[in-house]
Amino acid sequence: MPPARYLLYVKTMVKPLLSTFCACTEWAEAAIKAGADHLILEDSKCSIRSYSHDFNTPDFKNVSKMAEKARAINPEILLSFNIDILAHQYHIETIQQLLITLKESNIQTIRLQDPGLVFLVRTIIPDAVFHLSTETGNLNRQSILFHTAQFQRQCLSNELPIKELRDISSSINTELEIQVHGPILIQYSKRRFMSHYLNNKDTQSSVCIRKKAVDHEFKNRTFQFYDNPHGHFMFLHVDRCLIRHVPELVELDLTSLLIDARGESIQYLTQTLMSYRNERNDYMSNPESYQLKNQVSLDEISPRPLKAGFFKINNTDKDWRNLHPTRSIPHEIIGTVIDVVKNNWLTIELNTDLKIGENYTLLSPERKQRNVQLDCLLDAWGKPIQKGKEHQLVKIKWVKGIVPQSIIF
Amino acid sequence: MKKTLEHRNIPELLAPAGNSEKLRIALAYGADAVYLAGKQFGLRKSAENFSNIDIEKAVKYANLKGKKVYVVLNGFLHASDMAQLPQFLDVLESIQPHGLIISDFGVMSLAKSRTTIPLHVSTQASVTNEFTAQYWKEAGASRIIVARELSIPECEHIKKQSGIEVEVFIHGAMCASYSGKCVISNYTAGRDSNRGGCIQSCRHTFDVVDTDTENIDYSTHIMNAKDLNTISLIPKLIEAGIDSLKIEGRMKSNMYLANTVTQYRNVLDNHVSPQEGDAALQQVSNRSFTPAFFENTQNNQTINTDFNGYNKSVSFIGTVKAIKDKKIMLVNVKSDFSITDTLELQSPKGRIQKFVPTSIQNMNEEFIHHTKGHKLVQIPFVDAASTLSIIRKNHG
Repeated sequence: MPPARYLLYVKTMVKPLLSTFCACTEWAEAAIKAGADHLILEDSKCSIRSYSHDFNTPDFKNVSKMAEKARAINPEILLSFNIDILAHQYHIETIQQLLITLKESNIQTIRLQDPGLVFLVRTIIPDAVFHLSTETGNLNRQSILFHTAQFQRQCLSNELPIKELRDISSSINTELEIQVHGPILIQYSKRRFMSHYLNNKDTQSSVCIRKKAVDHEFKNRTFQFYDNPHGHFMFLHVDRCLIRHVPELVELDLTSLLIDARGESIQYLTQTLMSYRNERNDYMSNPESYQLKNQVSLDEISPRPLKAGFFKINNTDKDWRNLHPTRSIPHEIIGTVIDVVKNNWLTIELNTDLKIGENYTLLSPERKQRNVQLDCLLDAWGKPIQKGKEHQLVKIKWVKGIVPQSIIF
Repeated sequence: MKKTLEHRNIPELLAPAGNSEKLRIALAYGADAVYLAGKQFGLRKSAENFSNIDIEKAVKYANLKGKKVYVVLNGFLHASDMAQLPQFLDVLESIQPHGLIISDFGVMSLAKSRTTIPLHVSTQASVTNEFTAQYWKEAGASRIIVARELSIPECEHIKKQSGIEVEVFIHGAMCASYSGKCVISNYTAGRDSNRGGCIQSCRHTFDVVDTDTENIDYSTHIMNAKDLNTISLIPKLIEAGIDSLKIEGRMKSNMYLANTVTQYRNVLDNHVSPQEGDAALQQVSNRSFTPAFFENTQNNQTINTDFNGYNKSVSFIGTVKAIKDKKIMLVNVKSDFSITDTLELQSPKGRIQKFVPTSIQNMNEEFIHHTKGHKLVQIPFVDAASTLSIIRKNHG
């Protein structure tokens, strides 16, 4: 045994799985051959964005076929099923039928967006294992910890930057996943906006619509709109791409990297999987000499620009918190100016007591500050008083620069 | 219908309080409870909101009146927000509001461990079934504010199956998407829609473009949700056993608040028919109304695509701030008016009264013929007026 000083700490890198969605046997085969370790199976009836559009098939036999095909190619392939529906009462029976098929096909790992469905799933698959993907929310350590009681894995929101991902990964002992590539969902509605607009089409019609959309307030951005019986989905004008960040992704110790190729070509699916597989394997086999090789091929097959999004940093709540002028005042607000008669009076509505003889500060919405010693105080009707009380209207001498909505503290 | 209303528990009428004055208006006009937010953790960042001292005063005031105050903590919080939350929860525990409204499981966990305050689940959590209601119940919730996409039978089913209190929105603006499932503002404007920064992109005009031809198929307000109005469904909501009826609008005007609370109060108490109440609601600024999905889970009439401005027939003129000897009223003016204008006064206890001011004085006792907004003026007293009466102008 060499002396301790000769022992080097070698961090064991955990190889993250490559996970992807598929809704047909052709995709299952292509995904596995391209390097997917985990297939998240889908069926339009219970998977809200599957694009397989098999709303009219009465059963889930396709799911069984996909599982059979996948296991024939790779018996070790991990399989789960995506029930990402926000379930209404009228969905329950369909979900139950699906669960019976999943049980028969020995698919026991269920991915949910609606966390309470664990109770429904367990009525049919008591030993089910759950993955959670809420799409939004679930952004802090305490929330993620809460869900570990029921969920083995959690797919974290695209709004989390790497700093927060690092903190979460290092402090919670649970399986974590993030989307590393593909369209970024920014809105999910039950309303079928496009179907409704087009001559009030029946909202239960199985016809699906894909369009682009330009917001008149942001004319240089072309969003994606997708409408199906589950509702409306809006996607960002760029796709998420973290191919440049594979070393950081590996260092995060995530269990799974999710590639979302739904709605795209099979070439998109396979090229993306191969690219991430190659970059992951290259980095893990030799981190010191690792160099990115697959960016260009992804740029070529992507129909939209590729961006890292909020992965590097998220400042969405930084600069505008102090919208209201009272937000940053550390003192109790004594009142608000509600009327100004120039060169004469300020009328103030009081939140609390105001006393003659004391020193106060007046602050306008434009941040003009005036300090006053109160030597004159009248009630709203002009009668001199020593003290004003909560909810009372009082008058003090006019102060230059102070306008309505100014505060006194 | 009257017999049904008389023999059922009347649900709580819950109104928004964007500031202290609105809290007093809401309670004066008939709300049983109000909801408000502190300076952080809510979803209306540009509202005035309440300091800790203001929250304490609000709760004391409500307790004196036998009413309730719920504090909103319904943002989806990041780590940096969570760091500041424990201190605020400790303050709230000392104040003891009657409930906290939460949508984040992390916030729920922390609130449960640090307070004894009843915990309500916000509509932001988009609870649509009894299983998720149960999930929240096991997390500590005693009430669910269900998703606005549910029908009345669905709400009733959730209540019966989960044994938890159910609250529903009954009036006001709606999100186009499932609440909490929209981050458009995050990416387009750099403002987090789930922490109070929503810029309401869903209200914009969109060009919808064919993916093959690149031609514009149509340009419209394709996602502009109508406002919710369920006054005609109040009997059914009571019959369904709904525990609380919630009005949206912490940033809306005193007039909207007073009028909306009054109409729903009157219908709940069987003083007016739903039709009369609806007629009064139609007068105040709205984006066209819909009962949403309460009676039809596949309702496709919830969007106002041809939005050309708000519908309204009354304008908000001002709020009565003080009365002297039943002779003079002090009015905090929001919109211009003149001494010859025919105005209306809506008071907490009475009906609408028409009047002509005949004189206007500023706070320097000078007589004027016309006043602009953001002024305090004195006008002659109107019978049945009281502090917090609303002055409005009817253009109909």
